[in-house]
Amino acid sequence: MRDYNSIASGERYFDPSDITVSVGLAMLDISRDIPNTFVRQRCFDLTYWMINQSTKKQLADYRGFHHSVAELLERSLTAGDKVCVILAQGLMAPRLYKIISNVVNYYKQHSDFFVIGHIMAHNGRYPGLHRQMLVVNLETWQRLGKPEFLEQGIFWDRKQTYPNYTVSENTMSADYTPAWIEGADGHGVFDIVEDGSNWLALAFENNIRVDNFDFETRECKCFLYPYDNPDKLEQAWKNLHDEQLIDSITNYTQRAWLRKLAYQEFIEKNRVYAYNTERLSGEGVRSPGPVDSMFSAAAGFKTVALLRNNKFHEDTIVNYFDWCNSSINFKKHLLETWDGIDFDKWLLEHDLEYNFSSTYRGNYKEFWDREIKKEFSSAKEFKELWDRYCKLKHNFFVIDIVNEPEKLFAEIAKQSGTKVLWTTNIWPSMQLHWNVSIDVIEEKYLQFESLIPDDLVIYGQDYLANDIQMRVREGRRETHPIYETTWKRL
Amino acid sequence: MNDKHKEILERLWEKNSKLYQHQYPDMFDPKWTIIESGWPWLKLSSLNNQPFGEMLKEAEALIDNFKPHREDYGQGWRSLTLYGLNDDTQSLDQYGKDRNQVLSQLDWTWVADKCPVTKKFLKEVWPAEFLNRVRFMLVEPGGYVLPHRDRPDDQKRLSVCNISLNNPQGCEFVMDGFGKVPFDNNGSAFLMDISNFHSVWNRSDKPRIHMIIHYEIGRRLRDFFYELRTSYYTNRENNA
Repeated sequence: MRDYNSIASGERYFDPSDITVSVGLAMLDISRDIPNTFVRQRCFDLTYWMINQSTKKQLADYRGFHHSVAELLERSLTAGDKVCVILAQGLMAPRLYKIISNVVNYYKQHSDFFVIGHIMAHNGRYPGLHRQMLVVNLETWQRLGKPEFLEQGIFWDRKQTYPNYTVSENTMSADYTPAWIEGADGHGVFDIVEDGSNWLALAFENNIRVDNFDFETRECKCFLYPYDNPDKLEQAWKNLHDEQLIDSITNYTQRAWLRKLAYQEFIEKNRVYAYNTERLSGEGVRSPGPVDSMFSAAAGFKTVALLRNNKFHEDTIVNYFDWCNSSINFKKHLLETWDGIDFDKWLLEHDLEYNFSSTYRGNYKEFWDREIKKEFSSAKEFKELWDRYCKLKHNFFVIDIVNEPEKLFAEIAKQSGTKVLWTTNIWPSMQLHWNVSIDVIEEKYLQFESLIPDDLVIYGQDYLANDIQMRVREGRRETHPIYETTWKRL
Repeated sequence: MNDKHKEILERLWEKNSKLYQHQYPDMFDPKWTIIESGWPWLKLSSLNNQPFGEMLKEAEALIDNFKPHREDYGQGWRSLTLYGLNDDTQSLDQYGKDRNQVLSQLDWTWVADKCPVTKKFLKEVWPAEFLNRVRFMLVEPGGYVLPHRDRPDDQKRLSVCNISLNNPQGCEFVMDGFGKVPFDNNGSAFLMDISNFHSVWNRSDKPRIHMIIHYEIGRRLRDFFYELRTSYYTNRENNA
């Protein structure tokens, strides 16, 4: 079933085995058109955040940031990619992994395609492709002479002569967005042309049909139109709680995205993750012996899986922490009342007491079945594990590890033996990256990292979604790309 | 200057002694700015830091090559073409009915080769895909251009760019009904609505040299809007 609701769910269970084609991801620098320093910077950071989630899953590789589409494609081609997906600065694609999957499937079925994009076919203008997202078959692009993606234009003396075209009767989201477009006999003369009109003309001359993005791909992303009233966007970005302000935004997509985030922000105060949302990296055995003390974010069942993998004993202590009381209360409630069978039914019975994030009545069972299948082999095995786990001593701490990590490490220092910490995806979470600038996040993260004791076994992700263990113990450190526009005169 | 011309100019100057004040709406709208605002000019403040001084030197070095221009309604008005059909290119409409053929013949003239800084500005900074005609325009000390307009009312909009490479004190450009265009002696660029009657009178002792750019935006629309938007907000802040 398609997930129409969540910002990032589905990721946990995403199967990347079909992604057998080399895909490059690149970001189009549109800074010139965004007259607001804050919005330029943060759109770059957030779009990179989206890209980074997929590169860290090894679904694709990042090919850089530039205002020239041809330059980005050349980099991708040189790196050996088959397909390049170009996202404009300001494109929010929390489920980019799904877009990549769709793109790969499309490529397998249409290996000679040229480009997929948002077709813009307004009356009176030569059609083109909206630059917010372009999917390019690099072999075809090369065969067609590596054309630059030319911008929209207006002509009076030098009107453009381009091949005629025909569009599908079916449209995608508006009457000017046909499902596909292809060449027709003859030529016409046009004084206004859209972005990428030269690409469409070239496609038509070479008998290549161009398809629009399908609905499923469209649902996986949202373009912020950062050049549309960016000052107000900045205000709203910083004040998601201001409903009146967000209501006053006239751009539909911008407003819809902000409302979605505002809702997440609203429930963040008391949200509960019944299931984990992050990918399961590095879950192998890392502790030198059975765990004596487990420090874990209060989310999902990963704590149980980690204890099983590393082994535990009847005196093992589980310490849950979360910045939000509700998650702690949820864990207590679950331990006291659930018997380890049919979690979905327990959720149905109690879900009015909690604000679940990324989980809905419609997918309780589906997610639980997947959880069992993927992580615990069978319901019976999970039940046995849960029965052992429930008897352990549990402590609960309300701690915000981003802003007060010393509190967490003070608690860790109080306990002895083999200690394990799991921080889940707190550091690379989108809410954190939306609200706090990447430089500040890095500073806070490095402060957190500096407090990690040498004997602590670590699971979780750093602020760039790398395995913390790899970073801290093996020195694989990465820093975020610094926003630097390629436009020369800004 | 004959008495009749002097009277025309003095009357025009007296009538247009007040400074024109732009009113900038909060939200920049390029179409409104160019077509609907009715503004007589707009300073392209985003170009303030361009090397206009060096461009002036390049033009001054060629001063003996300037050609007399429209002597029917001016005196001491001369021009030199950097981009056009030759170094003395007039309005393109004067070269025959086949405009496309005329356009296809446009190119850099020898003047541009002698003015590398100016050519670089036109090629790399000026935000239009095509140039139609680019000229240095000189008004000699004591020279003048009588009131005239270059476009009919149905083409009312900000269009050509007039750049003052210098504008010595005493030389003024008046647009009838709006006042004096605040050209800067150190260099300044303005989009002009030349459907308004306008006139120049150089009452200084130095030659005044401007550069006029006729262009076609083509696919540099967003680059053009960028300069326009930056200028709009900069002007608003500076009350210009």
